[in-house]
Amino acid sequence: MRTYLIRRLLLVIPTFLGISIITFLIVQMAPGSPIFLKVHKPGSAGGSAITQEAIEQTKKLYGLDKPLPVRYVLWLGKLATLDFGNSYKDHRPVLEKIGETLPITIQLNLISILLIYLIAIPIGVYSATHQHSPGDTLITLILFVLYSLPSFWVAMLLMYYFCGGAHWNWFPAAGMNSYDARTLAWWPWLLDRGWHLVLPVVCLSYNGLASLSRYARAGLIETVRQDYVRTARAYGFSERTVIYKYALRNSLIPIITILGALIPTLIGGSVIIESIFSIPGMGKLAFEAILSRDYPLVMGILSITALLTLLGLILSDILYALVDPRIKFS
Amino acid sequence: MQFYKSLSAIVLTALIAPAFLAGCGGSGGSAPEEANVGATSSGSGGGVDDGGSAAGPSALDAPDEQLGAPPVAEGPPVEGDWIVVRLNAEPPTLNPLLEVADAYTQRVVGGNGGNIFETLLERDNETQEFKPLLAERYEVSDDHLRYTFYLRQNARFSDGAPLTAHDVLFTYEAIQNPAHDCADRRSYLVDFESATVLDDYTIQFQARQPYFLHLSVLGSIEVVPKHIYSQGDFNRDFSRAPVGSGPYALKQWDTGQQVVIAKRADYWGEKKPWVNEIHYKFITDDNAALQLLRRGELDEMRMSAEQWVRHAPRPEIADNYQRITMYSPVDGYAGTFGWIGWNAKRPFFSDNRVRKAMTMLLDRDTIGETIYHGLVRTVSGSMFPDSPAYDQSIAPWPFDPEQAAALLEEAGWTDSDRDGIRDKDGTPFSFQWIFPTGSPEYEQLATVYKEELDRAGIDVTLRPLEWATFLESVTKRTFDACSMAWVSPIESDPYQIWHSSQAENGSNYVGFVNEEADRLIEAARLEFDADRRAALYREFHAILHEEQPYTFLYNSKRKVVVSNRFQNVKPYTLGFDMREWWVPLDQQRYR
Repeated sequence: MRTYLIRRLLLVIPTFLGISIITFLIVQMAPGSPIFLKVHKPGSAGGSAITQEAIEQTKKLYGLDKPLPVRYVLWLGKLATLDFGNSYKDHRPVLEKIGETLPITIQLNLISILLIYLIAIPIGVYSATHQHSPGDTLITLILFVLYSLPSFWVAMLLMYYFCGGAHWNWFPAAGMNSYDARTLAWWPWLLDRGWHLVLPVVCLSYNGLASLSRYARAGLIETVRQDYVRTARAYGFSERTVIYKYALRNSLIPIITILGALIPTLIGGSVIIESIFSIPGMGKLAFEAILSRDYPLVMGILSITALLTLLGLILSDILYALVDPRIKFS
Repeated sequence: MQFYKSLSAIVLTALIAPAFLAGCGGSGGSAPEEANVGATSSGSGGGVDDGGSAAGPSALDAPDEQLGAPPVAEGPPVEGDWIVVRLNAEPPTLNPLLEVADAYTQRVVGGNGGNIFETLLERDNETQEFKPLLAERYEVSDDHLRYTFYLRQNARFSDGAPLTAHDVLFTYEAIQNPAHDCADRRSYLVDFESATVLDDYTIQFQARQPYFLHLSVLGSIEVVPKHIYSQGDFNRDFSRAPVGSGPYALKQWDTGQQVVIAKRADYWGEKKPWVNEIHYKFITDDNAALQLLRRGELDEMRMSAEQWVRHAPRPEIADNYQRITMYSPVDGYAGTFGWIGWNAKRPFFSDNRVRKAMTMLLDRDTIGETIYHGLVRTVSGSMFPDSPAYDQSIAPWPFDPEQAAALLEEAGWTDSDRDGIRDKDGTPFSFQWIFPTGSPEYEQLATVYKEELDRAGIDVTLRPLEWATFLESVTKRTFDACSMAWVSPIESDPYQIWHSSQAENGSNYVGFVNEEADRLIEAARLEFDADRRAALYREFHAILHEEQPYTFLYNSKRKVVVSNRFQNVKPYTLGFDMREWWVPLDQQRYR
């Protein structure tokens, strides 16, 4: 197990390098340039020479006067010392900006993951044990509808109907806390935070929930057909014991592997949802960084996201071993 | 209310306005409508009232409106309460001298008069004339090369240190320092060769050549304290720790949520504000902002035309807010006028008859009434429509498809191969039109226009582009036709957009080259008499109208709601002056 882990962790390094080269190229070669965005207000006094000079000076300031491979190597060299450079936007260290926003995104996503698993598995079990019943058909229909609704659209609808004004004033429309939240004691503060998170978490979760519960259903149906389940039934165990003690645990294996794959999906969702609900997380930061061609910040966020995804995949494998004693990493 | 912008010849912003400047278009992008324009007729000699014979919708000369202002309160103004303002995005920095300082930076640190920082001069709200602020008086030499400012001796920064000529000199040098990220501001100072401190309260600037905007450039530099800003990384360290001499100082900054500025008890100046704190909330999404507004959690918000027409009249807003529309020229939020620029290097647009035809095929009046809900007016030139530099007698070209067809025939664009598309010398009249994404009104306008062009035998492909991509395309001149918006300040210099020297790398994207126009522009730069300068610009306006390098679109009103707790909310030509607002004691909400 230990050697396996070490090997897996070492494999992260070349994988990450590959990812970073590709993203670096895509980000920097995409149309639009931070220089044009910055110097898009040409001066009034000096004419074109000055505009050119401003462009040159700004390029130098951001190190964009060097060729692409050189820029990549420099970026990588700084990365080795955990320095992601400074944001073009406000010259603050990228790491500091990510540090401010990442906890918020992680919080959102952890709650979403928990919620997805807690709801998806029971739904999956119900659907599997009541296969082809009207209940199962209805759930299937609802899940397919949910799965196909784009989350930005759902977010806007929810906001329109439940955030005061025209219809019901049940939930806040922006932010993670009320504006006077800092004056609250800890449990009202927690309530306030929870109240702000309801809609974003719903928008972030329903899509994963829909797919995961289908996986859970399929997994359990598959398992119930196994010989050992038949054997268990033949022993005369109650249906409940058969399902929950024997079948379910085995059927969870594929679901757990999905956890790793869920992370990038959720982070992608965060970009949209955080932007809509004005939540100052890493998703919103990424969105703004891409639009303003803030290369160091985009690269920083993509690197962190890539690392998280890679670690998520390793985590899935470890969970595999935990739920399935037949799997040995040796 | 971006005073500093008023010195730029013309500041560009895109039709979708604020959002992409702050780097967040997309779902949160605001409408082009955020654009505001136009003018209060407050004494800028604008001749709004004579109507300018202008063609067009009734909205054209609609006066500014202020609905739902509260009854005038008894007694003198009192202190207290907060103003809660919506910003579409977080300001990147509160150092106003940096390149990255944007419209949101300007709104927080303050425009004319200033919240956190102050300038040597400010413009009078009523007359827009310069008046003393940090400088009690100034002298300009007869050759317009030497500018001497005599500072007040009682101005203090928020840390208690006196503001002296050394601070002004430091600020000037900080902008000129190439290691600082101030390329944009530096370009305004390029004509100056030196700044000299004559004594602790006197500073003199020496210019290389005369230029009518020099005074406003110098008069509008935000002065920063040398003893603080010289210590540390200028590009970074003061972005979130501004120290200025203005009536407000930064109280807190919650990343991603809000910036709060609080009134200084020890403010040195005479014009002390009444309101204790201003809270700027960052709300990217328009719908979210609207919901907060409906609940009364915002005191000031700018609206899109759509919101203005659909939501503002509803009781939850109409009963609690003053609804104000104003034409106002200086606002980093949005363009003063939108336009479609025809790249003169393309075979179809090299002939001004074709460009005129393109304008006559666009029914600007009807579109203004429908898509823009009549909150706009059609313009015929690039100067601020209520300034004397804009010739009111020049009406925009009318919508006239028949005459347009005649002009196209005359210019040699006929459908010789009978395929429904005009052609000339084997080139079919089929072009691409690019514009920034994220503005629903604009896309509607484009669709209507496309139909009209199809009927006229012209094939257009609409290409909405994300802002950064769009900007690259116009900068490199790789477009046939493009659209965005410019802001014309009260005093603006067309040099940057229209002079032939700017056709290759400057902002003259469409390649407009005209000797007579060059002559007028150059003469105006050296004309220090405002009336004579305006006369030159009116001549220039006639050339633009005849040549149609752009099809000029609209000058839109800014549409703002302000909570009716506030007394004395006046829409000036330069925007609001929040220092005058106050709330009667019994209505104060925040402590």
